[in-house]
Amino acid sequence: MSRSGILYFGSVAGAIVGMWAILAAGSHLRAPHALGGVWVPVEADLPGVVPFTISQSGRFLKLKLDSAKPLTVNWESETTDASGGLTIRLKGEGQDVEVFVPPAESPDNPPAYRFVFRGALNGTWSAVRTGDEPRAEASQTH
Amino acid sequence: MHASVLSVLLLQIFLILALSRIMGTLAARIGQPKVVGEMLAGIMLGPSLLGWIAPDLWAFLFPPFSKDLLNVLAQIGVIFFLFLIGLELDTRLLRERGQAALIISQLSIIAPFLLGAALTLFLYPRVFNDGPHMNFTTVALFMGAAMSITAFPVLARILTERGLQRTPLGALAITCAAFNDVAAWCMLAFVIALGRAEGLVPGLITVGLSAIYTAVMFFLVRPLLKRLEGLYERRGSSDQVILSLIFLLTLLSAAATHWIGIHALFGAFLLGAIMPKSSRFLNFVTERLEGFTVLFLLPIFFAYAGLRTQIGLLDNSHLWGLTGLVVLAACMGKFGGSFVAALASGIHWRESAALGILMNTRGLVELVLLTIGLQMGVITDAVFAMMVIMALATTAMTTPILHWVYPRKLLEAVIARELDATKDFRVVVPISRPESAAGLARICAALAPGGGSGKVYALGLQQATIHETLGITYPQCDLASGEGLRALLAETSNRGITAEPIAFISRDIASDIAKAARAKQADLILMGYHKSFFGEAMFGGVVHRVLTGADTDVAILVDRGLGEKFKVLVPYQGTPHDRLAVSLVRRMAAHPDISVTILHVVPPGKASDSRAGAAGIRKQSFPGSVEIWVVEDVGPIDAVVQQAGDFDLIILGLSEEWGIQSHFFGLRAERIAGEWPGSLLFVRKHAPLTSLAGDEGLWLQNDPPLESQASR
Repeated sequence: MSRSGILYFGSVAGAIVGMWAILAAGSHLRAPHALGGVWVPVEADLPGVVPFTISQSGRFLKLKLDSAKPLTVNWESETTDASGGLTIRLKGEGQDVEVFVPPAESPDNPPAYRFVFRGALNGTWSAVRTGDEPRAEASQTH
Repeated sequence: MHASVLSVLLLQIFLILALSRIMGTLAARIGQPKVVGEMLAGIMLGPSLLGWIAPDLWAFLFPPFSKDLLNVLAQIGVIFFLFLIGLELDTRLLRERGQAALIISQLSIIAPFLLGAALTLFLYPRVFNDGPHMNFTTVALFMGAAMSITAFPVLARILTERGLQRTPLGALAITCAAFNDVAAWCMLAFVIALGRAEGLVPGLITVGLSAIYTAVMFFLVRPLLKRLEGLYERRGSSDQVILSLIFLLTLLSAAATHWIGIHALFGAFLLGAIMPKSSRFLNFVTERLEGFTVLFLLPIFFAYAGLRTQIGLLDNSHLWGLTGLVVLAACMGKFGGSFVAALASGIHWRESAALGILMNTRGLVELVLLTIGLQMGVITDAVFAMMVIMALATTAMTTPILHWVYPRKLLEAVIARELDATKDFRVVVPISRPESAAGLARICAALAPGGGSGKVYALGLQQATIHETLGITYPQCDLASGEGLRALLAETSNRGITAEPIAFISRDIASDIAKAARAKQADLILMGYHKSFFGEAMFGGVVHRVLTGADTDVAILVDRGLGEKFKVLVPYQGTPHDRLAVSLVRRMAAHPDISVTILHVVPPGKASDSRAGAAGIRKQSFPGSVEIWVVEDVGPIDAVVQQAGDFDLIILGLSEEWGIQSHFFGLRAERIAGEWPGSLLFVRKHAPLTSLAGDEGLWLQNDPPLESQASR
């Protein structure tokens, strides 16, 4: 077989094997749980609670409460309890946030997530997601 | 539409077009493609700059309700832009460029695709989330496709701006980019189908409908388009009905693919790709569509993409580090893949590197793809911002790095060489004696191998009789009546050369040869000569008069039995005529049956200084094999005669004393002709010697010196 033939078929074979290996390796990976969206508190122990938005790019999140400057928090850890519920710990700008995600088979529709704030802002909210993650044109992030 | 909505929209469009034009012009001023400035203009109008420094003004100028309108205009712009890209795609290129183009194209897609997919292993747990369309497989395939794209239109523009489009490198880059285009859009269609399909059955339905759609386009729509082309050819460019039909078909095709679930852009692209590619029809459609699309609709798309780009999301070193990684992977994959494939295909490292740099241009096409990914929810806002930066960086780095790898002087030399090699070389061959025909046809074939890059005018002149000269009679000249002309046409035809016959009765043959050469913008007058050198000049001194009077290069063949395969020797002393001889053998060297040797005779002890005389001649500038000999001898003529033993033809630049009756071809030429029994081709450069002394245009000043120093 000519050198070009070897290159041609070799590259096709390499592409197939390489892609198979990458997809196999990636099948075990988990991306951070999606928290982005517009959240409406259904239960809160904080005064003046209003809908808030979360913009998420993986482990990097911005919480926008009312008209305040967005709060930048990063993903710290994630644990799953026996019932299948998820506890996510976020941290940033002197603020700790714990998010309790109900198990997938939760009877609530939509499921209510519990947000526990510690730091400059203290309190606990239960909130449901009412809309998709807001895009750039609807929110300013600076 | 409410009046205030219209006012806002018009204000937005005004701002977008004005800033886009300003930034595009500024980009062009600093040697960047305009698209870089236009992309930056879009980002400047978005939250990354205007929304950051003047949030209230930004909120006033781009209120949320207006975004949908901008989006619609942007999408229509991209639909017609993709139609234009498809229109520019010439599938014949892919078939004609051979294996090298196929392999380079393939590796320039596979390498960045795999690297993009592999990078996803690192990025996925960090900057993606487990949203409905962000499963690993979809994300990895999308990132692979996004990394492997090449901006065909930006690449074409860079090639044109740098004058590379007529070089083999430019042709190869365009071919690979075209192949990339097709492959990348097919991959993206697959990714979109995969991302949108909810389960196996809907996925299979999408694949089935896509196959039916493609079949309809090729077997029903394509013949219809050919009929439209025919209609255009008959009716001319004033017919607006044809254009309206094409617009309608574009929208219909886009709507069909949108409905199938593989995005509206594919419909537009495929319609463009299957359009008939006759240049008149293509120009007709492109001219009417390009201006409005590129100048009006595309800047709106840039602005819309800019409104969605939030550079501010990259607000920590970790994310900027990831952005750097994305840029690095994109460059390594695209540049590395193309470079290695080109090297493996036997392309010189410098051209391989230039090809890799060109293929790394992503520009607008990448932005289109990323916007689709963001709208589909396959990538997050931060990844979108990273990838936009990557698209900008890879586009902006192309021109400066290309300048560095391919400096302007070297590029100009390459272009000059290519133009010289690919130019339509025109030869006027005056003929009177049939026995001259075979030799002259052989030389014509050698100068334009295969007849593809040359044009031969066979000139059969008949001397006017005294009656004709006095105007008593002036009969039409019968082309068939000239035996010499007939023989030459037959000989050229046998060698696959189409010679155009010209015949007329001439009162002054030498003058008419010169006039015919001028009228046909000939590069060379090639004539035969059979008379003994030291006797009376033939044709009543026609050869002598053409040599002294024509303002075209002249070559005189003394045929002493030149065969089909021959070995050529070119004595070289650096005169302008010698240089013409070398430029002619450079053409001949492309012929497989011709071997070329250049002989540089220098005084004893001066071989090492031969650079002074033969500077600029290098083997690489010859399309085929060439040997360059440097010999030391006190007598140049003796050396030439001594070395010429094995050769069949000597091409000899005329000495400067040519034209003196006692040395018809000059002393050097006549001595060699007298002492050597083989065939000769005497060549004379037409320009005045004073101007020729500075004529360095043909010579590559940056080339290394004479390479083969094999002194014999």
